[in-house]
Amino acid sequence: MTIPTQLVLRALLAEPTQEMYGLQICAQSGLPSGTIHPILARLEHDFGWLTSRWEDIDPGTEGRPRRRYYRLTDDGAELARIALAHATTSVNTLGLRIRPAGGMA
Amino acid sequence: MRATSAGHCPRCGIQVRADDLICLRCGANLPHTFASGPPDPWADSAAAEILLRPERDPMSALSCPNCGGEVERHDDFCEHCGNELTRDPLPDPSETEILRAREPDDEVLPAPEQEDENSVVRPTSERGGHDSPPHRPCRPRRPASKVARAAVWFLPAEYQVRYAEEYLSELWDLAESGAGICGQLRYSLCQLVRTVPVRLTLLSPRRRGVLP
Repeated sequence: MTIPTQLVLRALLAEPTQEMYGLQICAQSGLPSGTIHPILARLEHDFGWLTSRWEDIDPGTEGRPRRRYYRLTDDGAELARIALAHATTSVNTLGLRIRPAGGMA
Repeated sequence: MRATSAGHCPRCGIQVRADDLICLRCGANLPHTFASGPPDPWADSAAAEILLRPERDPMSALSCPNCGGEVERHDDFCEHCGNELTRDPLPDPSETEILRAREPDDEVLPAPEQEDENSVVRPTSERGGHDSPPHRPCRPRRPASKVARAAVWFLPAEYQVRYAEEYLSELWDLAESGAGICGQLRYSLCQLVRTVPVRLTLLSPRRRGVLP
């Protein structure tokens, strides 16, 4: 799992029941705006971890387009936690195998 | 001579003239209660002259059927709400021609497209200066909207409308947060660069439950 995907999942898991739109997720994850849609599409379409819905407004009345809100499904949140734990473990394992140059005396 | 202003648009609140048939800003049909009698476009010599003129400007104003926002004739999607637009013109072309007849000398309501692309986008309340129209958020800059719409063209057809509205809504949020033309263009170019992975994802078979 890539680092940006982990950051997006951590942002969504910060409050799993809260719906967030694209720029909110960018701000929460620290990723630049406009970079998360491939990740969101993958998590929603490919893996089914996310659900999304349109903001409940009338664009004509509000004078702006509707936002798209994303939320982790219950199963998605559980799988995301497992995936993040696995990713963290992998990184730790990788870190243990890498020893500083010079080695043992 | 008719009164130059006699009411407000029921949808967007902007000041309109007594004899306007539709709002110049949002395209809403106006009630005829502003005028003393039924509107007669032929009584207005300027409108009659335009109605009789054979040639038509291809950039004449059109409105989105979903939100009423102003769009251009060649637009595929409404830049205000992301609605997919058909190629059909307004059902009554005479209304469009009347609109165009009054635009050049209309001091009450400058059209957004008449502003300089590099000028600062101001809220409507600052532009019009009339009695408290409802707050309208800053609009994204047109080049950024066009690039975002170009990004949508590469996506599967069934997803184009959805992503057009989603990208535009984020551009609106960026504009509202104070992002300038550079920030908005950066966002749209990011979408353009990433449209291929989004397309591949949307076209790929679903892999439910598999860890990424």
